[in-house]
Amino acid sequence: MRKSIDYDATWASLRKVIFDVLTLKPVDRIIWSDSISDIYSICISSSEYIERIYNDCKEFLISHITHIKKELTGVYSQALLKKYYEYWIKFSSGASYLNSMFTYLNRSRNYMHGSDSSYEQMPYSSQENEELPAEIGQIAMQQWQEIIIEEYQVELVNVLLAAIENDRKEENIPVADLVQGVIHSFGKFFYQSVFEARLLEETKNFYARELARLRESYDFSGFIKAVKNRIDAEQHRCQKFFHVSSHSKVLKACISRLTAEQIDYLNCECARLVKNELIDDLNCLYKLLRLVDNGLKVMLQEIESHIKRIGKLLVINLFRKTCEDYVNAMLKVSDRFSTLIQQAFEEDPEFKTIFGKAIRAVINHSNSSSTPIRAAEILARYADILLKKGSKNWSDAELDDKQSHVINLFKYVDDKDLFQKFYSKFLAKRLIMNGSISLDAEEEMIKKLKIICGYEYTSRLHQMFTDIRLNEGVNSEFSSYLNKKNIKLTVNFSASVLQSGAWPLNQTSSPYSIPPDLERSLTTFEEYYCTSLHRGRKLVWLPYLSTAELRMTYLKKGYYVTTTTYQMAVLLLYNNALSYTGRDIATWTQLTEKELIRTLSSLEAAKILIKENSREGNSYKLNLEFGNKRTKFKIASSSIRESPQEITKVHSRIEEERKLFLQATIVRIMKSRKVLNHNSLLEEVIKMSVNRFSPSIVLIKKCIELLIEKDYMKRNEGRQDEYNYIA
Amino acid sequence: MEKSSTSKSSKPAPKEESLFTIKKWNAVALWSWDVTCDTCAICKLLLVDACMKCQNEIKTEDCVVVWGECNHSFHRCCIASWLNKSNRCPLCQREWIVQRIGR
Ligand SMILES: [Zn+2]
Ligand SMILES: [Zn+2]
Ligand SMILES: [Zn+2]
Repeated sequence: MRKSIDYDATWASLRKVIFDVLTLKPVDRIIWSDSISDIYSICISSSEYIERIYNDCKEFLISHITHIKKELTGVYSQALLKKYYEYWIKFSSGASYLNSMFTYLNRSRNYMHGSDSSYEQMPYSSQENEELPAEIGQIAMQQWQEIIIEEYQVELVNVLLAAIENDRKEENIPVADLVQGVIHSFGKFFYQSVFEARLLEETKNFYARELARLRESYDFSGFIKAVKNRIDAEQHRCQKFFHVSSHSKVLKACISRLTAEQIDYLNCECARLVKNELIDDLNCLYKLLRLVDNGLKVMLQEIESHIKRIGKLLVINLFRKTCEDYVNAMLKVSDRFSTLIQQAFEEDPEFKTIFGKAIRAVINHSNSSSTPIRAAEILARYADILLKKGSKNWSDAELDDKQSHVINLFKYVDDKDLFQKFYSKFLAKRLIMNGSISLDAEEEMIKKLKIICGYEYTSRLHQMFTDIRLNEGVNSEFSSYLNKKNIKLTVNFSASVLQSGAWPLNQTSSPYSIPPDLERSLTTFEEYYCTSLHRGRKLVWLPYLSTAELRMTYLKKGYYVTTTTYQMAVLLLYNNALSYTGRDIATWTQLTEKELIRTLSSLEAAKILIKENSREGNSYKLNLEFGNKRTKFKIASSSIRESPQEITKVHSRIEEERKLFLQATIVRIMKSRKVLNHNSLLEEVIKMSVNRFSPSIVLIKKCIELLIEKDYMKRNEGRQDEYNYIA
Repeated sequence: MEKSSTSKSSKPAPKEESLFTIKKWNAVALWSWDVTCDTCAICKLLLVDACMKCQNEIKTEDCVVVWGECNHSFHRCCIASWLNKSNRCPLCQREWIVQRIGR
């Protein structure tokens, strides 16, 4: 049942409240709730009244806005902006209150038109759902735009753009709320269809003028800084004034004028900055070019070629310098440019990649195609210096630092397999000669190598340690074995047994003659090791690595001298006579000529023997006047001193190993893929070799041919660039 | 290494006190399996190294060599999986009987 209602009387009282609400006059709480219940009563009385109050309300808004329009006539420029803004702020908040007062009406009309979506937000989003009947708040906005914006749009836009230009020039800086508020009043349609286009146009024009001014007033360094400031300020301005939908457009207009459109000029200056490594300017330019699509391309190229140029020059200068000089120089280059990358380019991953590429090129650079790349060998030698006893007295922290330096350079070395060869050679020498500063330091280094190259790369190096550590136990067990069997050896004997696959040692050695009681030590140990301790193993003794400590009893002082087995064999002869001819020594010791000459010259150099030339040939006399500062000393051994031939041997051996590795890799890939085209095969092979060496395409092709010959794979008959695996 | 003891008898006689006496002697040796061929015919790797499977699983310690009555030798792991298919030696086709296992 509907309550009858006096519409005219109700409207008359509502009308007064509407006016107060719109003009933000204080409205009593009771009047406010009465009005809401009046609107409610009208809405439930009849649908005719719903339309009537809606239209009356709209009429009222129109006449109110038309009144404001009149108030604004005759006001121009800044004053218009100010006055317009004041009216707008008042009106928009009044309209928002009004909308909530008419909530029930809005809802009823939505319901009548088959929707119950309610009015959400002022003023932009209100216009989104155009199928829905406009709510009172929306009507207010629409009418504002139709009546006031329509009338003052030209003047408003001009004044606004002038204010924005002032802000850009930092003269007469406008109040941010005012500019933002006026723009907000435009509504989505006017903002997008009229204002934004003008804004972008003005932005472009302004920055074209600004560019010319900046180019004229600054040198390059000042210029890029000024440009950077302008762009930063514009970014800030966007936040301050414009709707979020315009931010990227305005910025783009600014950036393209200031940077993209003059990229050639910027790139041209870039070369100079890179050459002089001007970090601040580079950083500034980097920040500008980063904003341009593909803008860093030239800069990246300049950096790469600069690092290569400086680095290669350095490598040439380092020719024939010590490996410490080499490593220090490389570290300096690497530090210098990684600092540059960090400071100028903020660790940008693209620049870091370029840095790695360039350093790799420098480290693997060879002065000419005929000289081998020395990096692998040099780094291994440097590591040897670090880990060898008696080089320098570094603290643990220093040593760790220096090891990390080696690793930092090692990362870039292409010939990692060659490094491994040299490294294991030097490691073997250190371990056997007891010449390592500590096994812990050795292990630390190998751990670092393992992180980069994996288990397989370091497994043999690990085996070498294991052997050294196992030997302690082996020798103490050997002593108990001797006790149990009641065997007494005449010398204090110990053995170092090494796994033949892991150690890069020459198995062939010169024969020599030793006293039978010494020989008994070897055979006893052999028997113990091969039958009691192990089964199925055999031993090969390496006298050139075996060492003895001898006591010299014929001098004023008693000395203890450490010798190789060969040196020992010669010296023991002198227990029987004080002088021998070279020929006699050869006969007694049975040493090969090469080994004999080496051994005698080492004893002569140590001043233990004195060489005498005579017509019958050389003879060697024991030096009875021998003296030494230390009571314990070692005779330098030349047996494992490296010769140039040995280094060539390492290089040629590595060539063979690479061929075998590539063939095995190709077979492994083909076995899993069955069919593969040429380029994909190359790619996979290169990927799988990266931790050992970087194979040349020619070498891979050669290996493919070899495997085709050996019937491991064949060319696909239909497609020549495809291979089939033959099981 | 060959050791020679030729013509020791003609050496001059030792003096009463030795000028050089041996205090310590450390002899270095390489060990390898006592085999006729140093690669494993099944996995093609050196017998002194572990087989492929053990290298991948990082348990090289356990990968020992085994000899058959025919005197052919393989990684124990390799011949073990071979014996699943055939009970003959892969090289000489004689019946596989273990002669000894390396240690
Ligand atoms: Zn095997
Ligand atoms: Zn195995
Ligand atoms: Zn067999």
